[in-house]
Amino acid sequence: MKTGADYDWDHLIQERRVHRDVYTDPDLFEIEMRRIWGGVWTYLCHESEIPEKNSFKRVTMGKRDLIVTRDKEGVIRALYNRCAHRASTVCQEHSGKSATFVCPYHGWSYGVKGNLIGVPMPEGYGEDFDKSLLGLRQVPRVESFKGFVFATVNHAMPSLIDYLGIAGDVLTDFINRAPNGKLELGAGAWRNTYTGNWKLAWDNAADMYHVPFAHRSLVEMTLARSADKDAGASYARKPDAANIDSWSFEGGHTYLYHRPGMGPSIFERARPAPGTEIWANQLRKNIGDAEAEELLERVPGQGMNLNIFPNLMILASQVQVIDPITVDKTQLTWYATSLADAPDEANVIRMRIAEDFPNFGEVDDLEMFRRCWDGLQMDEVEWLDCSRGAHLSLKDTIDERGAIKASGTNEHTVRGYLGAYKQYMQQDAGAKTAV
Amino acid sequence: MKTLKPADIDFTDSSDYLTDEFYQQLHLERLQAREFGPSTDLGIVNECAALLAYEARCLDQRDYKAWLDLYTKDAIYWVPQDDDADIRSYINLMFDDRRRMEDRVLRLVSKFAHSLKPDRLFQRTVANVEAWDMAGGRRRALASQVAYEYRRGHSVEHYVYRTDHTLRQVEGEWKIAVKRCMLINMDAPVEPPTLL
Ligand code: FES
Ligand SMILES: [Fe+2]
Repeated sequence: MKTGADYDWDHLIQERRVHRDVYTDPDLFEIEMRRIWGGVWTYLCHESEIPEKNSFKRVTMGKRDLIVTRDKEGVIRALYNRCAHRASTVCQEHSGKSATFVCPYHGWSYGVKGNLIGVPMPEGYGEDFDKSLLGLRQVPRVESFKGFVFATVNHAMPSLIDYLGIAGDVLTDFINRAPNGKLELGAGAWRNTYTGNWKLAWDNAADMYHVPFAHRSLVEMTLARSADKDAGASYARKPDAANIDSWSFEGGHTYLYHRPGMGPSIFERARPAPGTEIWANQLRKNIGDAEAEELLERVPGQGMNLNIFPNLMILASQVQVIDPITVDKTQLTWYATSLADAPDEANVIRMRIAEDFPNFGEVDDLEMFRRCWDGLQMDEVEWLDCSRGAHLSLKDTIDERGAIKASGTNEHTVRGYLGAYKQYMQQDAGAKTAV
Repeated sequence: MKTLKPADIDFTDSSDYLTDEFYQQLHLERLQAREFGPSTDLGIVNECAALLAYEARCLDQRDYKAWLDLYTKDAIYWVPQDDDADIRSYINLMFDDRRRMEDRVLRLVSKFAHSLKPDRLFQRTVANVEAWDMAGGRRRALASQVAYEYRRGHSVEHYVYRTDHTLRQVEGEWKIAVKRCMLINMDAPVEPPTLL
């Protein structure tokens, strides 16, 4: 099997262009599944999805099928879903509550800490049979950041909070838009697949350049209903004229902030969702106009895309996760979030608004990914260009926190994460297996 | 495919029926469908089967104006992600009131809906139709459907789902008040369907 050292990275990833092999080479994909997925801090799930002792949720981290568990002390672990005996998976459910995982094949049973509790007919084993060595393997490092659970098999990674850096501050701002900072998952999810490499979705997540073109059907749909022929759509049509900024942070994280392009009220600007008027009026009646307006501003989420490398994307009110399946197949999961401390009316509106973009926007993004994938099949045409804005002096664009900041359509976001990616792919530590 | 322009749609400006009572009624009717015995009145079954087949043909032919005309002014078009969830606090794969149905159609007929280019071809099958007359002059029809979507040069995607239609008479004609489509794999990743 090839390793990161078998590739000429300075050739594949250059200042203003990237080689197609980075997207299409199946061997390189296998290396990513170790060096990137689990090689760096990788998002697993949110604590609200495993709220009680013995709650569990099954997730993937690259090719690892993991069971994230919570024990009675509240400790969260990521267990490999793989029996120590003859390798059968021990958990078939997506999520649930269980104090044990019993392997269906020969009945070995495990606790939520991964410990082997017992094996049937133990008299068949000798005195040297050591149960403490035959638990479910677990990912050695699991950490939470304000409810968001990440893991890595890489002992050389810094702590999660250092890895997140400024992206952690932005994530905190996002969480704090929920009243009392109480944000919960568990309100359902869209699960989409597309034909194409995972990086097509990642590139897109900090790309404001595509909006007027790829999402034109959505812009037209919005305008057709609106009396004001420019209503709220101008920023989608001319993003560079709308004060939309983008950042690239150390570690490969990126951030788009489009709130300034959205006018005085995000709530007013959101496309009309089913029943919005009724529930907003009820809310105003229940808690008073002033408080209701303040809360309604938080309901659609935030005009932002925060992308935490490699697989967590926050957009508006949703938490989106990338799961690469194969070099040419990717799964995207969009988790709805609810405001745990807000009145029900706010969440009814939030759910209905959250249904909008996956239906009317994402479908065209997925089509773009498919078409890029088609284009990438022609190996004589080797390069993808990511030079937009590269002629500008970056030293003018370092913000007060030391992050690179530029207009929303500047492709420094692509160049930025590719630089980090290039380093991760060359590091050794990520290739180590878990203990 | 008939060309439909935004001007051809009689826009619904407000959404004034999705009250708490309405949500609760949707939920009760969803539970009710699980208890139905066999349908015995073949006259009703045949009438409903004809309506469902016509709706399928409108969608296959992308005649979205005719499709919208099949629905009441306070209709719901609904594809749950979890058919047990309380959707006041849970998302659906699709959940459209009349206004959002019109939006959906607007996007589909815009020249820039890339996800439909090159032209998608649709074909669907309606089977196992059962139907009952209900209290309050309503009718219910359950069916099993498969929708195929072909994007030229690529494979044919297929979607397998049960449908539950609630019908109501408007000026002497049966119209669809609620359509719920329960995908067999509603919890699994799929290439998103255009319309079920
Ligand atoms: S494979 Fe699990 S008990 Fe044998
Ligand atoms: Fe997009």
